[in-house]
Amino acid sequence: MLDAGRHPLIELLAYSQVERVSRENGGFHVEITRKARYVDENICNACGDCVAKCPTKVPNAFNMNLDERRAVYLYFDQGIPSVMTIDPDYCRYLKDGKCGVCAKVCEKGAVDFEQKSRGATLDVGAIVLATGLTVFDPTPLTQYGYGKIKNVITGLEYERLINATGPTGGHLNRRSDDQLAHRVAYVQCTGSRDLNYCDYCSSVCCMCSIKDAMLGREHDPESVSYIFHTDLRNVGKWFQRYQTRGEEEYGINFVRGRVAEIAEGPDDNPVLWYEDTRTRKVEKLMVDMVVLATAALPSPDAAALGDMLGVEVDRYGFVVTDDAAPADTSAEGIFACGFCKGPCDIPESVAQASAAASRASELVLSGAPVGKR
Amino acid sequence: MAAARGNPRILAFVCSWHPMAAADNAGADGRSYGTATAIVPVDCAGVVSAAAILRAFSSDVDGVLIAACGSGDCHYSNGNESCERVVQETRDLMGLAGLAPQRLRLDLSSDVDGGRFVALLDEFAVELAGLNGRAGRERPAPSRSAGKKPAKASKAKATARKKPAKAKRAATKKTATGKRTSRKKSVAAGKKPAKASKAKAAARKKPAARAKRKR
Amino acid sequence: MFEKAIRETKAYYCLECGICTGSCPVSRLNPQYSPRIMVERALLDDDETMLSEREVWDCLTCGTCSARCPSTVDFNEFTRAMRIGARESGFEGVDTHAGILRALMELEARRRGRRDISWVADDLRVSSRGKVLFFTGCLPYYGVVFSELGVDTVGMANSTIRLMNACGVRPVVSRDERCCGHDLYWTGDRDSFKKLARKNLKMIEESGARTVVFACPECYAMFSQIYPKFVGKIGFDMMHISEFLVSHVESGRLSFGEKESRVTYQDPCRLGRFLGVYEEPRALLGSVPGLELAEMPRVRSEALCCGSSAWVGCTRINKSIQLERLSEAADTGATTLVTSCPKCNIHLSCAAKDKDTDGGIEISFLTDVLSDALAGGTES
Repeated sequence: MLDAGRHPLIELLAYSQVERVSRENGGFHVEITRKARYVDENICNACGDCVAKCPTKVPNAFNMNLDERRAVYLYFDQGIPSVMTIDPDYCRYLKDGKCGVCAKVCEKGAVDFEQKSRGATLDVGAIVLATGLTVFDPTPLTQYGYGKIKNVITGLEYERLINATGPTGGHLNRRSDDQLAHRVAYVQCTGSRDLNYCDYCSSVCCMCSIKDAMLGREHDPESVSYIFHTDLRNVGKWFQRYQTRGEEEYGINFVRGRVAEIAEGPDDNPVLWYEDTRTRKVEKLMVDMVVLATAALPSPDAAALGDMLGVEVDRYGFVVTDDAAPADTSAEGIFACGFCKGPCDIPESVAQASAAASRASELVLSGAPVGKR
Repeated sequence: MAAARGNPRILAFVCSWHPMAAADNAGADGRSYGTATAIVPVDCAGVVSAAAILRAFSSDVDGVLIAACGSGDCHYSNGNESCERVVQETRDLMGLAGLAPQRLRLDLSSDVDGGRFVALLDEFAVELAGLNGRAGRERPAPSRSAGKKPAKASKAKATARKKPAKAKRAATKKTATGKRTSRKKSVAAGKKPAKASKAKAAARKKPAARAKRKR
Repeated sequence: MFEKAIRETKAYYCLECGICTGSCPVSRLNPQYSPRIMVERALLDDDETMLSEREVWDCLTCGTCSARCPSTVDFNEFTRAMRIGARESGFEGVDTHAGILRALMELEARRRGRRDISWVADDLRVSSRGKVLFFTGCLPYYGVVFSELGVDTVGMANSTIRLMNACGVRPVVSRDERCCGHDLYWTGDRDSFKKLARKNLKMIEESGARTVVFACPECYAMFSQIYPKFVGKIGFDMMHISEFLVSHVESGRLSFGEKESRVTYQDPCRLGRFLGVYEEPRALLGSVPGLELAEMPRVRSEALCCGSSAWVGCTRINKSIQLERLSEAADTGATTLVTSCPKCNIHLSCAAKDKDTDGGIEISFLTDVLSDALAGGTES
């Protein structure tokens, strides 16, 4: 990401929205809204003085709303470009004309409350879609009690909890009592491979849960993990070895059987009911915390984007690509890579990105009019 | 054909203590009873369940007789009493289902006289023939072919059937004007037996004559 | 033998994930019983031996497994197919209540008699023809069979009529009504079920009713979900009494008087998982001033079954399920457990009676609770 951010021939238009795309002169004319940050991107160096003084607290979406950020914020630490943004929905100055403390403390004078969203246009020879993914909300699976049982969380919430920059500074603390969770159960296929929700395999969750369980043990030597799975789909070079290592070195117990129901036991401990299909017995297991490995979905506006571009998407909103040319969409000159075209892990996304980029440059360098700003 | 006249199908659950002795004596005496009567010996009348009785009615039986030992004489001390409760419950259910409760008869007697036993069956048969004759609506409908019945009886039945049909029409008319509830209708329907009593009386005579002949 | 059942229930989609067995209230208590293994055996052509096993009859048809199944396998229909096969091979389940209820249903299917409706209370207004029909189901019969349990099902039917009268509706109560066939359907007696269905549809046609209201969710589910599959399109509207009453509460035609009480609510399988009616009964309870609804941990689509169905099989396992539910209900601190299914009421009352402990929770039928509140309302 940093490489792209620093590349002299790559211009990032972050915090922007593509409004309209039309075909012109064999290329594309793209209309964009550049949203107002109320901070001058060219001046701000993300020192954080404004954040330290901002009095307005806002649920922190990047940390899965597990903690709060301020109305002036950096979406996340490694974000590109590394500049602050003021949230107009919460900022007291932008809403009521009062406060303005961030402008006072900014030594560089980067805060600009007068900034307005503005239009921009681009003329380009090719477009690459990389709109990524969102995760399934497990609330409809009422049998898992997500949202009702405090210590049932999603995989992404776990990622934030175990992360050093996360809300607990990397401690796997329970939502109910802030005590360290030692026994953690992972519920695979939450919404995936389920004809009621997503009938496809999200493909990354098995490896992700193994990794999470390993991280748990690295943070806490007493950690014991249970991964409940339909069958582990660790399909990649050395992935099987990774799984074995998890079992042998990191205290992971793999249980074949999907979790049927999660009840609330004493002390806010979740109790899992399941059939261990190897012993053919119905069992229950009380743990400190349950992590739901939720299904991955295309980003929510992927279908609308497909409509705008005239790109075919499937019923979930995944971009449809040609089997023989996996970076090519149904629209000429538009390519796709990564999760927007189907579940894939990071190495595969990177490979697809390279493929899409070379398909795009093939087209652009072949003589079609190269876009000019 | 003549033998079948007024010969309702009776299922008799007979306790194997006093009542079965009475049935045995009837046989020893050479007495006979309706050919459509089936006797099912049971260890005690107390084992006869409401389900068994209702199933009998599902299978086109016209009447069920339970012959139990007289009060205080049950070999198992209170089987006859529990049978009384079952009979009461079953009659209530039959009534709700529109099946005349008289079709279920309980006889509590420790009399081992064969003559009494046969008379009991004969009398029940007469009552059932009467019920069959008048209440076309609640008669077992499907599998019973009209050809089985003698012409005369079926005529009487046919006339008896017409009347309820008329009464039904009248009742629907009344409710259509909104003046009468269906409950009142059922009271009106209750009057019918009086009209059908002629046919019933006629039916009563014949089995009696038949009984004489057999003796 | 099961090819058709496998095809119709989509059993071939099974992932063998075990969600069904892990969800099944019977499997949790009886290790011999496993929906997953039954499907597996059917797929492996082991069906002939299965038919003779008692497990065929153990399913409560509560639908929890199917509701959660990621492959949407309809295990209820699978069970029904097994039961049809078992019956054809000469195997039967154990009828509860000594078979009296099954005998009654068969009697209604085979005989022609008209029901006696003198049980309708004298102060209530009913008619024999009209736009709205109240389908009473087996409530009058249960009044005789379950009087010893202290469950007054005739009272339930009367309180339903009373509430409809309070809404200004004089429902048809037909003497030509028959059992809806629910229990015969789920125990695999196709012929009797179809006979009953045809008779009922004819009865409704003759009554002139455009709307049929049910107090029993089983009848409602049969009419709306099963009848169309076997006897064709249904030409009238159907609703549960709770849906009927809610519309009248919303329009302000029906209101209730003060009734101080803390209650909890049992979602019946048919009304809930089958028909998706969760909110109406709660809305009705919520519209009674002073009535507080305390929810159990397992509610709505996760509600625990009342432990028995279709009058087949009632063992220690069924009793344990009922006692478990009763203790869940008592833990809410409620004094009354309200149900909107007469059978839940019967089964849970039976278990409560067996339990015979002090401070046990009272079990009430929805329309009884509401009808009482109605009386309170008119007094004040």
